[in-house]
Amino acid sequence: LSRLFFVSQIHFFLHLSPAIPMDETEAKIEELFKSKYKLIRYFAYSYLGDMDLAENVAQDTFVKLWQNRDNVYFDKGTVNYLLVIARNLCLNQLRSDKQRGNYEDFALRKAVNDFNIAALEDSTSLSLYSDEIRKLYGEALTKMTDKVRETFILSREKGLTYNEIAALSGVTPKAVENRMSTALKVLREYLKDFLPILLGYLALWVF
Amino acid sequence: MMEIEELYIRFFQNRCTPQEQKMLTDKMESDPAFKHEMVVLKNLYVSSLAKDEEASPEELAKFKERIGALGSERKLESGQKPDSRRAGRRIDFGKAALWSMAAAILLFLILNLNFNWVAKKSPVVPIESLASGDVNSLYTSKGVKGRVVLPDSSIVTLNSDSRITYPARFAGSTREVGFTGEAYFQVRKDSLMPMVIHCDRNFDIKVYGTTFNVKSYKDDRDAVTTLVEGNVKVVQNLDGKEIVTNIKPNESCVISKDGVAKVESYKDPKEKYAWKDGKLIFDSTPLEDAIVILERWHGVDFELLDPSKKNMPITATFTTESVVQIMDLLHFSLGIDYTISDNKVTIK
Repeated sequence: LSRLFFVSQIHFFLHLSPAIPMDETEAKIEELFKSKYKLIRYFAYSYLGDMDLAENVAQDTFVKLWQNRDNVYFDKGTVNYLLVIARNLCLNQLRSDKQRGNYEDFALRKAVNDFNIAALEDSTSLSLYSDEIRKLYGEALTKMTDKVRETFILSREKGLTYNEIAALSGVTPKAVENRMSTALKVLREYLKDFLPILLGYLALWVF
Repeated sequence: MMEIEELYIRFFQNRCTPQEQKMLTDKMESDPAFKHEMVVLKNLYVSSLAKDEEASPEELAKFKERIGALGSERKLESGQKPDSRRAGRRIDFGKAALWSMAAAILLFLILNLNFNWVAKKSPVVPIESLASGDVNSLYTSKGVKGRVVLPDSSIVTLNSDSRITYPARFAGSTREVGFTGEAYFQVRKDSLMPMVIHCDRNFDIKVYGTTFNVKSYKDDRDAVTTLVEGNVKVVQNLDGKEIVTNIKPNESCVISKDGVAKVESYKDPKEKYAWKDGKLIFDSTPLEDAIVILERWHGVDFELLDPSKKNMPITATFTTESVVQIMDLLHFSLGIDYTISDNKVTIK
C-alpha cells in the first residue's frame, strides 16, 4: 500500500503547484490585458492582414510584458511599451514570411509585405498613439462634414465593414470609401505639424 | 501633397484586387516619395481608427493559461535572481513558493526518471516524417500528469501513460508531432504551418490552431478525438487510401479497433476532458473500461476475476479520492468485493 500512498501524495502536490500567488503587478497586467488586448490585436491585424497571426502577436506581446514584469514601470507609458513589443513581433513575422516564400503570387505578396515593413519601421507607426494625438483626432472630427463624420465613427466605434456601413447609410460601398478618404484628408490636414509628410519629397530632392 | 484616393483606403485594408495592388506597389517602388507618403497615410489611417475595447473572458483565460504554463517553467530554471521586489514577494508567499518549488522539482524528477526508465526499456522510435535534428520525447507514467509547451508555444496537457514526441524546433511546411495516450492540445494558430499529430492508432490529426482532446491508447477499444474549438481533420491511412473526417466543436471522431470512423456529437463534451482539471468521470462506463482508466489514473494494477461483471455500468465522478476510497464506493454501490495487496487490486 505504500506506493498507493505515494501516488496520492503526488496528486496532492500536483494540485498545489498551479497556485501562483497573485500580486499587485500581476493584477495590473491583467487589467492592462483586459483594456488593451483588442487594441494590440487590431494594431497587429492592420499590418499582418491575418487574424490568426494577429492573435498570436497580441498574446505574445502580453506574455513578454509578463516575463519582463520586474523591469517594467507601470504607468501611462506602458501602452507605448506594448506597442513597441507588438511592432517588433509584427516585423519578425513579416520578415520570416518573406523568407518562407510559400505564396501563390510571391512577388506581389513580397511587395505588400515590404510596404507593411516600411510602415512599421516608420516612427509614425507608434507616435500617433500618444494622448496628444488622440486628443487631436477628437478635435478633427468637428472639422468633418456630418456624413463623413458619421461614416468615420461607424467604422471606428462599431467596427462595421464598408458594405455594412453602406447598407446602413443607404449609399454605395464606393461612397463609403470616398467618405473615408475624405476623413483621412481632414485628419492629415489637422495633424500636419506632427506628420513628416513632406520629408519624402525633400529626401528625393537631396539625392 | 498627393490626393487621397479611395483606392488607397482599400489598399490599407487589404481589400485591393491583385491588379490594384500591383499598380500601387510598382508605383511605390519607382517613387520613394510616394511610398513614404503612403507609409505615413497608412499609419495615420490605422491609428485614427484604433479604439479601446474590453478583451473577452476567453482571450483572458488563454493568456492566463500561457503565463501559468510559463510559471512552472521559470521556477525550474531560476533560483538565483536577487531582486529586491522578488525578495519581498518571497517573504509574503514563502510557503506557497516553497511548496510549488518542491512540487515542481518532484514532478521534474518523476518525469525524468520515468522517461529514462522507459527509454531504457523500449527505445524511443523516432517518427519517420519528423524533421532531422533534435527530437524531444516526453512520457508521463501511470498515476502522473504533465504539461509541455511545444517550441511554437502550443500547450499540451498530458494525461497518465502518454507520450509526445516533437522536434526541438519546428521547420518545414508542417509542425510534426508524434503521440500516444491522452492529451488536451491547445495548438497555437498558424495558418501557414499546420500541425500534424501522428497518433499511433494509425491516424493523423491535422490542425491550424485549435483546442481539442485526443484519447488514443494502444489497447483501448476506441480512439476518440473531441474538438473544443476551431476545426480539425482526422486523416486515416487505410491500405494506402486517405480517409478524411472533419469534425466541428462539440463533436468527437471515434475510431474503432478495425479502423471504422464515426462522428458523435454532444451537448456538453466537457466530461471528455474533465481529467485535465483533476476529475474522473464515469457515465455508465462498463467496469472493464473503468478499470483500464483507473489503472492509468492511479498507477495500480487491476484484476477482474469474474468475467460476468465486465459490463457492469459505473456512473460516478471522482476527484481526489484514493484507490481505497474508490473501491469502497464501488463496493457499497455495486456490491463488488475486492482485495488490495502489493499494489494490485483484485475484484472478485
